Amino acid sequence: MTTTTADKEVLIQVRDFSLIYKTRLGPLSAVDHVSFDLYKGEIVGLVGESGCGKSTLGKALLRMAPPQAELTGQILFQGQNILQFDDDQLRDFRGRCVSMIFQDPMTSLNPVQRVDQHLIEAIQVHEPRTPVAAALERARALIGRLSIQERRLKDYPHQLSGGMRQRVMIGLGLVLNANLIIADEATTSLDVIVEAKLLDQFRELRDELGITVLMITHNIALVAEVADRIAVMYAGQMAEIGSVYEVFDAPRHPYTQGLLASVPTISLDERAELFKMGGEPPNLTHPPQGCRFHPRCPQALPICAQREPALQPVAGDHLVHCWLYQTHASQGAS
Amino acid sequence: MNVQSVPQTQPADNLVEVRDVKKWFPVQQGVLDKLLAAGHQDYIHAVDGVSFEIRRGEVFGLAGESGSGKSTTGRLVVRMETPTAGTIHFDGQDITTLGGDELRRLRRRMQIIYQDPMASLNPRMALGEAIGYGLKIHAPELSDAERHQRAIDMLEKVGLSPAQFFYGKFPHQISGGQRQRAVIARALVTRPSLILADEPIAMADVSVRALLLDLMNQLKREFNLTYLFITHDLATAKYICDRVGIMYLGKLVEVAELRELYSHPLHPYTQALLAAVPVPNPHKRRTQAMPEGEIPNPIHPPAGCRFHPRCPLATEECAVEDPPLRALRPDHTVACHHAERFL
Repeated sequence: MTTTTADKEVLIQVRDFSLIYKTRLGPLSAVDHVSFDLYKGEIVGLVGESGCGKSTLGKALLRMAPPQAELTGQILFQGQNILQFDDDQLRDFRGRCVSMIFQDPMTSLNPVQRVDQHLIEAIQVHEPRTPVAAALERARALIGRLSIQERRLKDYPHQLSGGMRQRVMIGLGLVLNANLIIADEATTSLDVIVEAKLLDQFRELRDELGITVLMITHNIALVAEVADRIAVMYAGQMAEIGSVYEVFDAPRHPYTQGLLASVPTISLDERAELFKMGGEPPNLTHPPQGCRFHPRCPQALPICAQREPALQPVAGDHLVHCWLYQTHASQGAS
Repeated sequence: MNVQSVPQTQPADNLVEVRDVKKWFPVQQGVLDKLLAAGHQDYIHAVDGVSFEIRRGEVFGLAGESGSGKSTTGRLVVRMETPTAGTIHFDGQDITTLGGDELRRLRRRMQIIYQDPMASLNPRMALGEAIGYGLKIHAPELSDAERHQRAIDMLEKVGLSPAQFFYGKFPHQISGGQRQRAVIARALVTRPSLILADEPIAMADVSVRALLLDLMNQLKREFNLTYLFITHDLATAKYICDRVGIMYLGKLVEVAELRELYSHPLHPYTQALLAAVPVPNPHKRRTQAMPEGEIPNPIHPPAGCRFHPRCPLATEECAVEDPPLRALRPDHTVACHHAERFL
């Protein structure tokens, strides 16, 4: 709220990025003309319902996409378009610059490798000349920072608790000094207390190391708890993006408004009934014309069914993809 | 949220009474372990002495982290598991060791809704057929036409309308929310009194969750249902439960009416659990520190109070003496030696 994005250093710029899956039923537009920036040292929550393209977008930032996907637009990391990287550049980028954590750490860790072997391997793959002793020393220092006891280095993944496994995954990203962590539903399978502690960990990493975290989640309350900015996706498009204070206090996009009103909250002084949003997200092989939300939108204007709005600022760095806040809207409405 | 005002003294108002129920699962051993351990057998103390009642017409929530024993407790109540010790009464009848035909007859009156509707529905059975199937077993006297009609009626009731259209659909042809509606319809078709809902909406998206919660509330009124609602999500529990029991490592640590529990949590674990739930409001971020460590191993649970190794209030007494559930406020019981300080 206090800091503006103007004085922040840009880490990743996504420009007009689209991803189309070629399916038997025709092209499926999973991410559609999305543009946004990620700044250094911020936590951004990327939210939306299943199938909205948030995970596809997250993986695309690492250029992880199935071969039958068609990627267009630009993803610029420090000025370089990662969509044009060759294999070597990509390998380097994936380990040293960006790392990703998934929902189930057990499927990401090798069950027959100890924690220290994981960490040493990660270092030696990217820095082959590092001796084992030096790599182990780095692993030790890192594991302490992540509040894992040193003796745990000799444990196998199955001996660790779920929260600890996720910390090891974070460690694998940090051991090469990555500056962006993409956490795709990384806390979803954890219990609330463990989840809360992991959120504290993300906050610490941001504050102490200036790490950027892109938190992809369906749990909107988590974003309010830990993020600086929130990005809301709907049907492959960026519906709204802004600081958590602006968006939670005054959501502008009718989808964001509905989404926030349907989030359960524990505080007893808030409404006793959840908002119930009608309809379902569209089939992305045949997305609706115009704004993809218009068939479900309680405030739809005639123009919404015809032309797609742009993602435009309503205030400062609070951007909304909706005709209600754009000049064409008034003309279309009257 | 309608709060039940039934007096606790009349036992007839309780649909379910669970007394000192335990469920220990033997730990599987290899040949070598058996030879070396010489007759020693370890047990997972999944549920270890739990007592509560579910009042007729209420939604009783059981909440806790994974491994707390909440799902096993639910399975014990509907007798998917047989207790190792203790008694379970359903509608006045002792069902602790019921088996065979008697148990099958009982099943008509208690149905289950699980988390994943795709795993609950037979992928090769049309929805209408799946919904009518329970009647084949529990009401064999019905003709095919009657069964068909009941399935159609039930599809309408859960909002899968037009019912004729959905009757012939297969699970993969409909959305997740619609699948869960079909599972609810299948559970209700035998006219049960008790529904065990084990994380029924945990997989749904937020907008679908609200609709499913609303449906469950509405059906509860219409069919005079009683729910045992198992959840790890205290925020969701707020929108459906009348009373909530908090479980930790096989024990019930606190039971109270929902608003009472959320506004006056007396157990340090309940307090931590409530504080950990993220609030969708960036102005109300959590400031409390979380308890150390994670839920311990249920094979060798800590002596005394099971929460004591993580508890900020723990004293010597806590490491030795297992605190019983005590009624410290009206209709509010808690198992903690130090709960008085929060009164």
